[in-house]
Amino acid sequence: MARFILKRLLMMILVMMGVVLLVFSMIYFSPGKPEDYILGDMATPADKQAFRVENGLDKPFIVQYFIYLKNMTKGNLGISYTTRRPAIDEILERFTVTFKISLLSIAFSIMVGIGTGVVSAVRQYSIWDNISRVLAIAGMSMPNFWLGLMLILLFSVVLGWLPASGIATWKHWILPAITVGSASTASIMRMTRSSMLEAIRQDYIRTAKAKGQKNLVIIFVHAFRNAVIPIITIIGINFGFLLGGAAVVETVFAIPGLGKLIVDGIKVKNAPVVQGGIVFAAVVMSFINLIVDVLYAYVDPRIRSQYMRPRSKRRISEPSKGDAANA
Amino acid sequence: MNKKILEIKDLHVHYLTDGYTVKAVNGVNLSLARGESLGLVGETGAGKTTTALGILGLVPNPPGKVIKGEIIYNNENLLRKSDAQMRKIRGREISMIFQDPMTALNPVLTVGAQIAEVIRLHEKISAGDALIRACEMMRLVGIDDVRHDEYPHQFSGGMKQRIVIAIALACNPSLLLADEPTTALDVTIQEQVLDLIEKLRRERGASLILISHDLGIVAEVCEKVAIIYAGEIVEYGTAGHIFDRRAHPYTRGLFDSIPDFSRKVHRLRPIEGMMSDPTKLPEGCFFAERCPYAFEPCRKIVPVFEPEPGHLVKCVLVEKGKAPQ
Repeated sequence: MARFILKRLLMMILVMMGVVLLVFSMIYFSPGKPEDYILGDMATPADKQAFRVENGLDKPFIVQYFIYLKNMTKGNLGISYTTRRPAIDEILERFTVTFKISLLSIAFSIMVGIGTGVVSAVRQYSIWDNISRVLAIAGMSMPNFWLGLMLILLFSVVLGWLPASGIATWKHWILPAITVGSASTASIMRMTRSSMLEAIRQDYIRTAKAKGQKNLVIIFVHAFRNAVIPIITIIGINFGFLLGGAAVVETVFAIPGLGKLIVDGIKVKNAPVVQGGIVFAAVVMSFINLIVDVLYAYVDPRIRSQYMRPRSKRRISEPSKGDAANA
Repeated sequence: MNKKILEIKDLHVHYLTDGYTVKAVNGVNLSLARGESLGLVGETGAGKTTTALGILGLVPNPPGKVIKGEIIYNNENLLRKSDAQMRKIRGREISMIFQDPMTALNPVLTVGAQIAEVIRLHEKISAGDALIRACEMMRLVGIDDVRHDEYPHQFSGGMKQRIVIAIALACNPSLLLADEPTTALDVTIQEQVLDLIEKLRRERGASLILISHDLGIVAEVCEKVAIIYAGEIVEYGTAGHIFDRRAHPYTRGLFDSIPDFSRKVHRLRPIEGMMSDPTKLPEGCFFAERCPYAFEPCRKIVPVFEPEPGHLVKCVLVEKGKAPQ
């Protein structure tokens, strides 16, 4: 297992170089020059040239790329053009906020999604199943900024229970977390439902029933453990997505998150922040994929046996001689 | 105590789907004495498995439903028991060996845990002691118990079926239902598994219902034989009755489709036609459509005749003494 993880970490370095190249060239070759946005209309050509030299923009593309890579290994993602602070600091600051929202959202999605998914599968075609399926389709098709606005309207404006924007108290986090998490809740619910439906039709479920096992144990121990792999996959994908920041929802709730940072950066071609932010999100996504793969091995012995050598055999009681009946 | 461990009276099980009613079991009558073994023989779709699941109260519902009948186990009607009461019976009093060992075991749990599970459900015993008992069971079915912490995918088909047998016998059930226990296995392994079931059953004094479509297997193991057709027992008797003096045309048809190496036969003689559609069964004898001897009285309700004590045949020909020999 350790070897597998190490291999994956080494592969991640290659992936990162690719991501950096892609993001770097997209920003480099896209139209518009940062100095035009940053320095404004009044800047003289000399000012602009000074800005280019200062930020290393006068060098050829390939040189800039390798300088960026070299700095990256030292944890230096450049200086933000607008705030003149290290980009990494800005990103980490914003990422903490995004991370908090994502964690809340995914926790909400997992609880609600898996809960309703299991109920839906176990009581297929019941009223609960129908309600949650309709809600799931709504959750997936609703634009989440719109959902955010509607939630603000209901809970902040009409009922006045929760604040509409900012991140001052824990109450501020509730609406954004639900808004951001609505789509992932829906997809987790749908995956849980279909995966559980498949699992509870398996023969080993009948075996468990024939043993006299209780329904709850059958559902959660026998069926759920077999159904959980695709659910983990979908949770991983959704969590990775959330951590990349949700620019639109962050705007709706006026939350200083990673998504908003990147979008604001794009507007002024603030390359260090945009590149750094995207690369950072990519690193996070890769780590989540790795965690998901490790979790696969943890829940499914068939996957585990591909990575691990069999454990040493352990006898728990001495066999009584002559008992080894082999017909 | 009653000599009979199980008596099924007029059991009807239907599957209700989208406006159709599949009549899987239509008035099955069976009885089984303590320690006895009964072979339940019939073709695919005859209602063998449904009958067995009915005994355990595990007919998938929906769409399955027990319409009427009684299943008397140790003088108690199982159909009147609550689910909680049935859970105490399943695995302890009555247990089942399933057809396909490849899918009957949970792939994410160790085999030791799966055997121990049934023991812990029915006995007040610690997890550690249950595992020790599970290991004993593994040795009993001929598997080295150091493998208790391995998973089903690490075992061959025959080994998996041994594990399933270990699960079924772990709590010393009084009645064992074996649903085609060897059908999914290699011929070479079939014999071993069958011997194992029979040996352990005898040692523990359990009764057995062996479901099969293979008369050879039934001949080897069972004292009583019931032939089931379209959800109905058409002939019932001792192995001697069925193998030597079979009377029902369907039973005869089954025997004719077995290769007989003592005679030189160019081709086997299959039973013509297909089993009646269980959504629209005919009036009278269900086999009449395919029966070469069918005549007018077969279209009416056919009573059960007893040409000799303990040999029951549901065929009009038997009454008239015209049973084909």
